[in-house]
Amino acid sequence: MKKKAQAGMFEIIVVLFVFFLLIGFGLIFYAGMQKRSSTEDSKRVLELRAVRVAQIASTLPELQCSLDNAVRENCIEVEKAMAAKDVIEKNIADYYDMFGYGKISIKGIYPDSSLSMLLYDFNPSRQTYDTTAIQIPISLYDSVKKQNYFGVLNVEVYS
Amino acid sequence: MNRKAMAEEQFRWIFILVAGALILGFFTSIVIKQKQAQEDAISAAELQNMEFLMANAKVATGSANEIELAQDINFDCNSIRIGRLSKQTKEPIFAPELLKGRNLVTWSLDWNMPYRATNLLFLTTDEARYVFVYDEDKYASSSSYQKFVDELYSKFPDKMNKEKVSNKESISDKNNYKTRIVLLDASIALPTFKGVSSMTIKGTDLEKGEIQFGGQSYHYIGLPALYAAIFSEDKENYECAMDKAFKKLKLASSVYSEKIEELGSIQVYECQTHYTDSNVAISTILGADVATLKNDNWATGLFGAISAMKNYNNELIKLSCPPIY
Repeated sequence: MKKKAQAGMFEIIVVLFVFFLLIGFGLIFYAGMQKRSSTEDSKRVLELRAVRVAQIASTLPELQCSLDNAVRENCIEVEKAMAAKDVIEKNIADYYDMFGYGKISIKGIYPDSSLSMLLYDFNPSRQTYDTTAIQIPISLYDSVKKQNYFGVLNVEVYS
Repeated sequence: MNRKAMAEEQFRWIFILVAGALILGFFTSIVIKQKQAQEDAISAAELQNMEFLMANAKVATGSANEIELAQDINFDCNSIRIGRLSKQTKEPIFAPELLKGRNLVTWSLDWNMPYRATNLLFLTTDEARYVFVYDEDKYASSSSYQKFVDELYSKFPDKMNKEKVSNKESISDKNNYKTRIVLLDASIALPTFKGVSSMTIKGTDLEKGEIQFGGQSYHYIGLPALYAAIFSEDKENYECAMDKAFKKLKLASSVYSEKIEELGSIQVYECQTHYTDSNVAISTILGADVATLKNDNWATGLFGAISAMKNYNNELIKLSCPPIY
């Protein structure tokens, strides 16, 4: 009788062990899947952030072309950008709230390809885990010479 | 069955019960955690929606947008909280402390002082009610007052729960969780139902005037600042968000100040005069903050500087000189 009871108990313990083993495998598999999907998600979030930063930068009052408050889409005024460069550097914390870790610059393409300006660069630790860069074609307007240039807005964001 | 066998049988049942409880507890904890994770995911999605809305508000201004509200939103000027999650915000947002209802309505306006400094974002829901009360006698006798009331009301988005009543009508309880009564140079006996708050707008000018709420008077310059007061929960929230707007104005003004210096080198006398004069005006705008709105002289000075800057810019455009903004 005693031996039969012991065998029954052993049987229950083995069943429980196998049961928890299967659950353990299931959890490990699920965690692996979750990790993979969260890596994909964070990449997607970073890409979206780059687009958003580019969108904000191109419509920033400190940069955008305007004539008596009538704004021109996808246009950055060169004189404003030159002034904004210093203002951004002096008030980097305020702009960090808008742009986060990243780098924003403009570059002239045609007719003047020598025009190049770094507007924002914030990455104090100089460490990046992941990075995404996008380029947006924009018009650069020189309000003194009253000339338009074709250029690009470069946005790089770090996670 | 002898006593020993009975004891073994009892032990076996106890063992089964304990193991059963363990298994049940394990799955219950998984279900609870999943439920919490799901709730957090909904909150996170809604917070992300809010983030997109705020980013869009920076880009596109003027039109009001409506989105479905899955959960109540708590707002306190510096942060937005949905469920257990919250997000810090540095943008000038004007909203009631609690946003609840079926739809969230967002609206943003350019804050031009006189150049665009930032966008003011207004948040409310279809359940929050805005009642504009006008003085019936003044409305009939003064055309400027009539224009002021009509314009202020018509520019307020139709997607919002708004109504216009005269001071001789009574305001009924429509069971809204929040009712903001905007007294347009009018006075009434305030209704006593729940969620009622009021504010008074003095004057008949959409460009400048005075607003009173929470026992404090503020000057407003421009229509967006006036609407900002209407959407704010209280004077603390209004001051906090206006402070953020003034910080943005300071940044934009710093850029324009440097630009004016740069443009000052243009060797055309007519242009130079206006650039030199505008330097004085921009220094007044640069020095403005939320305290300026509480002081009669400072507010008048700021309004004067803004008007002067507008004139200089118009003159520069007429003279074909590079404009300031």
